[in-house]
Amino acid sequence: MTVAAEHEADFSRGLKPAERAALVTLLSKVIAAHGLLATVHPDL
Amino acid sequence: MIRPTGRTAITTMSWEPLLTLDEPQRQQQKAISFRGSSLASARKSEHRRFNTSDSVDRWLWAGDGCAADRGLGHGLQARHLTTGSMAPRQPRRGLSTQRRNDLLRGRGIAFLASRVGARSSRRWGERLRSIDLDARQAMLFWNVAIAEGQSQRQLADALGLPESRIVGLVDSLETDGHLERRTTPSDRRARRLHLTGGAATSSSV
Repeated sequence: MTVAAEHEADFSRGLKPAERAALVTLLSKVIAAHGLLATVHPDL
Repeated sequence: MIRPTGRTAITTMSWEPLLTLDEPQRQQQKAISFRGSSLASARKSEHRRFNTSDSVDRWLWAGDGCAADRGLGHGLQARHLTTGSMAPRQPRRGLSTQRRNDLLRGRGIAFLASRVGARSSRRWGERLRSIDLDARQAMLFWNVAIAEGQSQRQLADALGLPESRIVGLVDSLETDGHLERRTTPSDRRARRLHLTGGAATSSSV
């Protein structure tokens, strides 16, 4: 999980843990509203 | 019916072309009359009989304001100007000024998400290339790791994709030694997907 962890850390830098959690919640909500699967990459 | 009274027109419930209008104006009236919902909602408020020079402006901004949003109001605005009327425009309905400014300044959610998403995808691809994978392979690898022992069909169903799109990726991951297909004694036709014994890929991705 090294690469994924690095990538996640890179993109969530500048966010506090609570802000990160809130962003995950909101983006998950948007994904659900669009009927997208979170486990499917857009290229698939 | 629309009929002229002095400088401007009085509108009633019917939208037949105004005979005194010239051809471009008639076409514009016709276009407005076919604008479904905005016209329908405008008609509801149209029971009010307009008989002042700014009445058509009011009608244009009635309902959802859609006629004006679509630029259909300009012709009638121009007609007012040619008749000397200086009716004040009503504020645009729908998008608030704050939201409009946000969009113009690149603070719309869709725009921000696309910016972050594009950058994230690019950086993610670069990181994966360092371990000889691409984003599609990594996503498939993860989905196998989440529930080992699925058949290709089950995996395809879980991902909402046709099996044909999975096969090629599984082939490449198997060739590179990240995954393996196993048969089961109970069903020799089904090929179950498993991670290979080495945990190198799993820990790297």
